[in-house]
Amino acid sequence: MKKNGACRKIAIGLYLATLCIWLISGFFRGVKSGNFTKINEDITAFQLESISSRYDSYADYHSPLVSTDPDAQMIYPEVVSINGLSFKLRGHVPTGTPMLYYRKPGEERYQSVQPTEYRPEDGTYIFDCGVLDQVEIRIDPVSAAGCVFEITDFTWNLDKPFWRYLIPTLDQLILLLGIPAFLLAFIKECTFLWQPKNKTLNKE
Amino acid sequence: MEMLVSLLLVLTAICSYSAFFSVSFRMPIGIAPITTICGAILWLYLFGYFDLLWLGGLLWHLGAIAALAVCVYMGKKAGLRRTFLELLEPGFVLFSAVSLVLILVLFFRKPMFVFWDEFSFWGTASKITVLHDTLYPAVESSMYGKLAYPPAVPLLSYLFHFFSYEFADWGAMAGYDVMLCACFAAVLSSLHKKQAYTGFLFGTVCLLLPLLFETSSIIGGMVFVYRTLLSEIFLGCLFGAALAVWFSGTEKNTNTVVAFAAILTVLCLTKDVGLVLSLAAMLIAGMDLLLFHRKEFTLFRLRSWAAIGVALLILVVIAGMAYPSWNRYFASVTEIDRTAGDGAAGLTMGGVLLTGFQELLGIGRTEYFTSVLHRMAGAFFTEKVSAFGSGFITSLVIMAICVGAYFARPKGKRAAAFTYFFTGCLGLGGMMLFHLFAYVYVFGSESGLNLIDYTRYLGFYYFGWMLGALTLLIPHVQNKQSRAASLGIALAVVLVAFHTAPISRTLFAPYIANSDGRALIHFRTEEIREQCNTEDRVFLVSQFDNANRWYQYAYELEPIRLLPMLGNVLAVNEDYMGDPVGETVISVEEYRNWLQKQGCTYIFIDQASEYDGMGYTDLFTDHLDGYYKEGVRLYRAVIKNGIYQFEPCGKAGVLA
Repeated sequence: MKKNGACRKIAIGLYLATLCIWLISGFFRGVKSGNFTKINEDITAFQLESISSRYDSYADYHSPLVSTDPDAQMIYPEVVSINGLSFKLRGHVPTGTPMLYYRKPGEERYQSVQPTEYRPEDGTYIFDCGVLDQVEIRIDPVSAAGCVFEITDFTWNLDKPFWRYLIPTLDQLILLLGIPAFLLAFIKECTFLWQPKNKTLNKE
Repeated sequence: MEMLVSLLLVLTAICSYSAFFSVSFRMPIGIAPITTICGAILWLYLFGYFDLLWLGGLLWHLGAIAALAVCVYMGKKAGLRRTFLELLEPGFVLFSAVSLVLILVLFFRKPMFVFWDEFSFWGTASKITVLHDTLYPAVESSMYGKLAYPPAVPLLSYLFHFFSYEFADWGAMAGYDVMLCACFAAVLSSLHKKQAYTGFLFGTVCLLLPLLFETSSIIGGMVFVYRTLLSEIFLGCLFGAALAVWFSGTEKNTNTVVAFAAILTVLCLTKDVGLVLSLAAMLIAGMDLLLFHRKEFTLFRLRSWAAIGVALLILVVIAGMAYPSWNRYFASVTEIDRTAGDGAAGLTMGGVLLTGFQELLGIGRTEYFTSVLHRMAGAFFTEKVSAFGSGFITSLVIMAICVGAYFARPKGKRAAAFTYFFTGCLGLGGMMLFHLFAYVYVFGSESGLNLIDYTRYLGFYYFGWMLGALTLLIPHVQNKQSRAASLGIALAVVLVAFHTAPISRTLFAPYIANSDGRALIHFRTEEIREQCNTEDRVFLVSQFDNANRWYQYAYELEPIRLLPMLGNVLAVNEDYMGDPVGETVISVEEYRNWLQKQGCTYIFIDQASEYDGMGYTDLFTDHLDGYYKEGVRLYRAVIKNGIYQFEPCGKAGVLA
């Protein structure tokens, strides 16, 4: 009975600690995100650059269609703070999922963010990326093999109320529930290591 | 919603059968779910063979109700509550709870198939089986050619779709996941209720383990475990479950043999390589039986050598029967002989084995054989087959688990851990030989010399082998050293899994990358469906396609048939039957005649370039006017002024 009581206390402690960490971080993210405003951006604000050094990028901004070289990347020239973005992408040959990349100024490697929603009716991609504060942005429109694509209705920041930051997504929920449970089981198994000798837990 | 109900009902039925086997036959509850599922697949196969699939499904579900009634009746005698609590052992709890969670997650996420092979076979065959209540070869469909894997995966999908009118990708994935959970339950089957924490830790390890053996997660891509219908993880899990069933219990008896035999038969009915896996499992278990359990082994009422003889006979007969029975069925409904010469060298399976062994022994060895052999040997040390590393490194990890099991097990049972490892090495050798021959004689020189998909083809053997090794270790974690070792293994697997496959790239992520192209195709076919009926024959124009989109449309449109043609240009290659890229440029009249001969009633232009399209505008009443601005059109076949041509459908034929 005593052992069960201790286990229960450890479990409650672990879950409470996880909940506190989550709420505090969510609160701060919500506060920060409140300062971000929704802005419609003109696609010409982006620079097109090629990852491959073998080709130069080509962009014809006088046409609604932006034609580019293999593996063109859209780079925003300024440092931004955002909670997400959305745009409509129409590739004349659909090749894959566009990705959003970000990095802190001075960092070499980009981190990637996948879209959180796709609407096939009008080709809208939405990236709900939490809070990205003071970052450099790169978008990969997956224009493979120089296929023509068109981006319209580009918008920085999503209408995301404060309380949404306190509600975990499914992957966050799995981690919030799973990590304390795993730690509990791990701690419980470890206690055997400091039990008196010749005591066995498992009997076949 | 009806899909969700169907899944939950089937899961309940599996639990009922499992409880029945446990209560009535004293089968360990952990191995009962996998035995039930494999039994169900074999039952459906038997009925499907005689074109009575629906009846088989109905009887199976009625049987589940009867099993539940028997459980309640027998439970009442011993106390219903007590009987129920006795069933709640870690393996069964993992199976039922995780299956339920995965079904709900899939229901909310509704992931879609995205892999080529899911459209070219696994998903399409499953969909045909579900929609027509018939084994897939017996249905006239868009599945052309000789791709004819055995039907275990489609039948599993059928089982879980039994109460649903429609086929759903996520429903098939859910059935597949329930099967994986049943395999993991078998690994934990020797744990008792008091070992719940050990069960939780190793349950987590089992659930994360497939992430470490999935090709795309190893190379840093999206993780498709638990949201796929590809057979590799399925085969690895079944192989691991067969070993787990054998090594989990302290007694080897009728229950063990029945469960083991059922799993091996399903292995043989999953893919051709399943036969090799079955033989490897038989070798590993057989050696264990002969060396360590000869005396106490019982089968029905037989003992010792008599029991061993009968068990061997049963296993050889079922493994030997399952595979040829499918070949025979396939030949009877399609008039295609699967055993006839196929592949790059045009050899039969017997011919492949004979020539392969001859060349291996140096008789008439070709230069090509030698180079593939050298590459295979080198790949064991260089090609990554898991997140741990190459085949060699992964084998060392498995050996470490076996060493842990050696010290954890009571004296007198220790040698079994080493025998397991060494017979597993022999099995691995067999798998490598099989794939060496496949690369040389079946896949063609490009695949052979580059060992294309080596990780995919070999990785799942290591996965199953590791699952089996864990089964040797888990029940014997009794002293401090083995406890510390097992905790180290559990922690290592969890950390490597989180490093290799972070949760943001798994099923639980908010969005499933690569599904958008599929979602677009799904969206477009919804509109085509509104125009066409099941008798129509649709011709797809999808330039720049490497056949992936053709297979996706064929899958989506089922039961409407897609004509067998693809191309980089708007042209037809009449010889196309399996070669997806038709590059023969023909005249518009030849094109028209070909379409008419094929009975084409609609043309769907998914994507086409102006340059290639302009030679064929006379086929269309609107001369493709405006197509290149708006894109995507559906045209209906009409005869105007005695000429077979195509007019736009709907709102000027413009789809989204």
